[in-house]
Amino acid sequence: MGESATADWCASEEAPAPSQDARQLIKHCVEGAWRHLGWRRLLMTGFLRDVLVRHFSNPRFIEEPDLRAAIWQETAPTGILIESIWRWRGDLTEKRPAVIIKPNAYKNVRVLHNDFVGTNEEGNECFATIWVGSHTLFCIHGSGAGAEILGAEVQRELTQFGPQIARTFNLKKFQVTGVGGISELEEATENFLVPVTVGWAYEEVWTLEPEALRFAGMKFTFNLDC
Amino acid sequence: MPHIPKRVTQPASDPSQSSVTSGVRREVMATQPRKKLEIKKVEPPIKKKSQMMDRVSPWDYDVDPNEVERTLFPEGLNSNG
Repeated sequence: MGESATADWCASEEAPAPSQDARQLIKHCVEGAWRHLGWRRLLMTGFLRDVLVRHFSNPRFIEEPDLRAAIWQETAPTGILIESIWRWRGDLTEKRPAVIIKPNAYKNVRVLHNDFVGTNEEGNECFATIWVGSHTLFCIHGSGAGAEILGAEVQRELTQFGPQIARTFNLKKFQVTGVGGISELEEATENFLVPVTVGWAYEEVWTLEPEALRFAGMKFTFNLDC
Repeated sequence: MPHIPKRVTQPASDPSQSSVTSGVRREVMATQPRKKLEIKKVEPPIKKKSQMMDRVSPWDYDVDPNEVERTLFPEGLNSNG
């Protein structure tokens, strides 16, 4: 690797100051939405973004020394771009590393007959089912080695904190299922990407409360004297 | 009649400088059949996007949820919940 290529990834003499923007993210947005609405794919996209924003907001959290200069800021200039795929623009990744989060397809796994769990003490029917899906985090950089380093940093963060994330947010599973091979990005010139795929599974639980009392039956009387 | 010495021309060390060699070469070239001109199709220097095997777009990337399920639950989700 030439000098110009390595210079992109060498940590600067002065480590950037931690970003203050990331402090308010998880508590006020994701956790609140999760408690009120339960899991859904869009929420998972935001959750993954917030985890990575928090990770890259402080050099102390970053494991790889060569990445400690890539500090996330909410406004430009930021050391790293972390966005969902629908907010991503190719020209923004020309000069800096980026993590682009893409939600993949998810499927329903039925574990109970008609999802029926039982009836609670109030007489309401309870149901539950499991949803399984994944997100892919594209770790993008102008050099192949840079993309590899960024991919490893993201993979290790999510793998090692995965059990804690699953416990805290009541997920059935949260796990990095694989890291894809390195490829060249189609949209921009000379950018490389490493896809890191995170699989997840959560339970969707609901209760049906009838507005009126359950229909018990109907009595018929016949007048046979006619 | 005075004796005139016969002039002898020494061939040059470089065969191309020799009149004999160059004469032979010209003769050979003249007898070779003329090659038929071939028109080769020149590929454009920039390949089409569909031909770029190694380039990917994140939009085209998708992961099969069945594969994810098998990875997350290798023992399978049991029907007893």
